[in-house]
Amino acid sequence: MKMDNGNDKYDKVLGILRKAEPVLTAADEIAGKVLKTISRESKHRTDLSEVLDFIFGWTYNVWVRRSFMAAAAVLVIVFIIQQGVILNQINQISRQINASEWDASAVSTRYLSKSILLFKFKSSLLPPGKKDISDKKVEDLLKSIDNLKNEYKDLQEMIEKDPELKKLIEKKLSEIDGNKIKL
Amino acid sequence: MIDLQLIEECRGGNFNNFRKLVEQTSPFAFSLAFRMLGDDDLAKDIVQETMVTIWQKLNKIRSAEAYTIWIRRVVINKCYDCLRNKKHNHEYRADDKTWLLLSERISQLPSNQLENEQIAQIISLLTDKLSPKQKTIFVLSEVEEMTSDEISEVTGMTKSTIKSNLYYARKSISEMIGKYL
Repeated sequence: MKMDNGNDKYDKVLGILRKAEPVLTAADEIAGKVLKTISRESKHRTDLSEVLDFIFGWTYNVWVRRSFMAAAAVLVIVFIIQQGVILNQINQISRQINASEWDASAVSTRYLSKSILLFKFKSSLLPPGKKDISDKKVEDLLKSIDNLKNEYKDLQEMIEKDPELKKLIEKKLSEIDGNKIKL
Repeated sequence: MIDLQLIEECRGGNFNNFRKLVEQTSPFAFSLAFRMLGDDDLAKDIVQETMVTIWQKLNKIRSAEAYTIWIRRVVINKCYDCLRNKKHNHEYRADDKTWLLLSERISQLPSNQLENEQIAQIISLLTDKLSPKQKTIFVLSEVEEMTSDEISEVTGMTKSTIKSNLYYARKSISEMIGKYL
């Protein structure tokens, strides 16, 4: 086969290929196989959907769905309310804590001073690890300090009430100290 | 042209109608697949897979034109994947004797009397040195006479890719034709 030039040859071969239509033999066979595959897949899908329907079919009922929706809404509302209550309680507790911290100064000065003294005796006067003074002894000591304070208070009141006694005590104290002392 | 009414009837799950659709569509799909792959069995497999895919996508097809585009797109993409996965075809070795036989067949037989095997042989010999992409573009553009827009739409390749690959394919095939035929 002799041809004129490259382009002509190219066009001729392409012309042949374009006109030469491949022929499908056994089209029925292909159709049969396709339908078989499709029906198998459809059956598989049907089986799966049957199982799913069996398990979850009850969810298709309208009243079940609506009930679930209502229940979900109620749960959400309850959750929100609970959160509110919890927050409120937390705020109350935190306020109480603040109040109790603030009230600490208003606690009986006697009790507070006793506690402080107890702490001082036990932690600073005694070396760590040694407990030669019992709590009871410390409490007795504190009681005596309290008594002393009360007596001092009474004495002060007595002095305030009696100006002559006050002058006498001022005079004695000034002699002891060397400076003039005023009560 | 495929009847839209038939497609709509198939959408309802009617297997008999789908059989008709397969019978109407298969020759076109087979022709395209065969020209791309040059293998009878592979082309039939592609047609089968394509029709199964089409059955699954029937709901998306809204017109007869869309159906044809879908068929073409599915076949071409499946064939392209097949070409990429397939090892190099050594069935038709491009030696001088083969080319001589082919040359004689082309000159003796009218083109419409070429058998599938001869068509496959010609395409395989001509496209033997082309990459899957070049081969796909050559068949679609030169044999199927699709425009670069259509090829781009179906394959997703850019027009410049199509143009450059087609240039190399034409050059390679022209050289082979000039040398052997």
